[in-house]
Amino acid sequence: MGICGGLCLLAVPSYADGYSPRVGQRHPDFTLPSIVDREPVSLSQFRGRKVLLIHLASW
Amino acid sequence: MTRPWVRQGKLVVLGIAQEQHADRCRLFAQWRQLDWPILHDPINVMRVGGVPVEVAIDEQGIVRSLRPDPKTIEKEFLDRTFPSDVPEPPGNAEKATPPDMAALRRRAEQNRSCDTWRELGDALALWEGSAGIDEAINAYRQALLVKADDGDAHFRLGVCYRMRCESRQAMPTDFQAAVDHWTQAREIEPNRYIWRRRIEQYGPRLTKPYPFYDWMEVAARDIRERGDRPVELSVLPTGSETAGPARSFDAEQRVEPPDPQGRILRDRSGLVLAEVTVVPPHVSPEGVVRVHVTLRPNDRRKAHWNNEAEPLRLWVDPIPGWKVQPQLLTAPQGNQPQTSEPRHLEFELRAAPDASGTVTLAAYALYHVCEDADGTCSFLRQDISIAVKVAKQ
Repeated sequence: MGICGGLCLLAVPSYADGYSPRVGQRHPDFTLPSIVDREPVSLSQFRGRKVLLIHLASW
Repeated sequence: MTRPWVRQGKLVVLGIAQEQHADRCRLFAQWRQLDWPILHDPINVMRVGGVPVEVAIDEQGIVRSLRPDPKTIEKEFLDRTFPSDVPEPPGNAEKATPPDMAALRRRAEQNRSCDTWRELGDALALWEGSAGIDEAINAYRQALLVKADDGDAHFRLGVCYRMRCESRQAMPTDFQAAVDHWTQAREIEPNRYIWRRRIEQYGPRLTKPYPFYDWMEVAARDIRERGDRPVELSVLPTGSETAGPARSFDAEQRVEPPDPQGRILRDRSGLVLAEVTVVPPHVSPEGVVRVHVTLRPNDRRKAHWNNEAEPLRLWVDPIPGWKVQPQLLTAPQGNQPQTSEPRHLEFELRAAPDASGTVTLAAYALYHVCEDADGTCSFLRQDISIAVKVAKQ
């Protein structure tokens, strides 16, 4: 978890080597603001559900 | 495609948008009728290398597939039960909360490392909006004082400068500062696709890979045809953001300077303020840059545009060997007799083959402006110097 250790103050883990999720390993949790109302949303909120995470852009 | 699975409760779709502006992403989601949550990552804090990237994550948070195949995702992921053999990390919060800003500030002040300053900047940029932008800029600058070649700090600082230049706290040099830091970021890590695209949005057409935001007009039309009202954008895309790429620099044009003898009165009292940004900040001999000129009525002088007269024009004087396209630009008028919005004009410059050092081109703007204080309206000229740095070979 890099600088944050076990408690991530920033709410996004340090991807010092770039974003590289690995099959079979836990996806690091993150918290980012919603584009609609800026409310925080975390990946861990969806624990217990299957998630399709999509990194996208409109351009 | 995912809608039936979402309706059946078999899947949650979660998006993360690599966008400078959240509202453009809202417009995109409205147009494409994306009804799943999308989160905002303007600073590329996730460090994702490109878009789109799709990751299938099971109920325990374990990655089960990268780029899942639509043909097999149901069988290989949705309908499968996965073992829960990866230990759960301690302290996972169930409710999402923004970061502890006070703790991040304390840590940055105590530790004073590049990482802690950068993380403070990240939190401010993501969560505090315009209220935190000055502090975010300071935090990233502190990070760069510790480690001058931290690409992430440069890129994110550029994002913050761009945010600030679109806010009420805008400083005249903010846009150029954004471009300068994005350029440094890209020089430090040239393979960062998201960073490259961010600067290309504002750059010259010769180096543009595709038009970035030309879809917006179509989106707004399609949404209206559905009977909906398109998401209102806080910042409209500039010409460079919607322009398509060009294969040649077309400099042939027949236009005359509007005030060749300089007879129009100068705006000596500063009723209109001009800002110039050159993208990219350096040009090679025979290279091309895009120049952005923003003209704002001066708030302190309570100035505003007079839209019942000729529109604002900008003329650029070429110097020997340099080409300008176009030389004469006209800004659209406001939609009421008096308005005070900033007006943005863009043109492209091709450097002379023997260009070197810093070259200054002369331009001037002609405009009708009124001052509220005494109700005076005038037709004025403002001379504008455009300094362009030529990259060393």
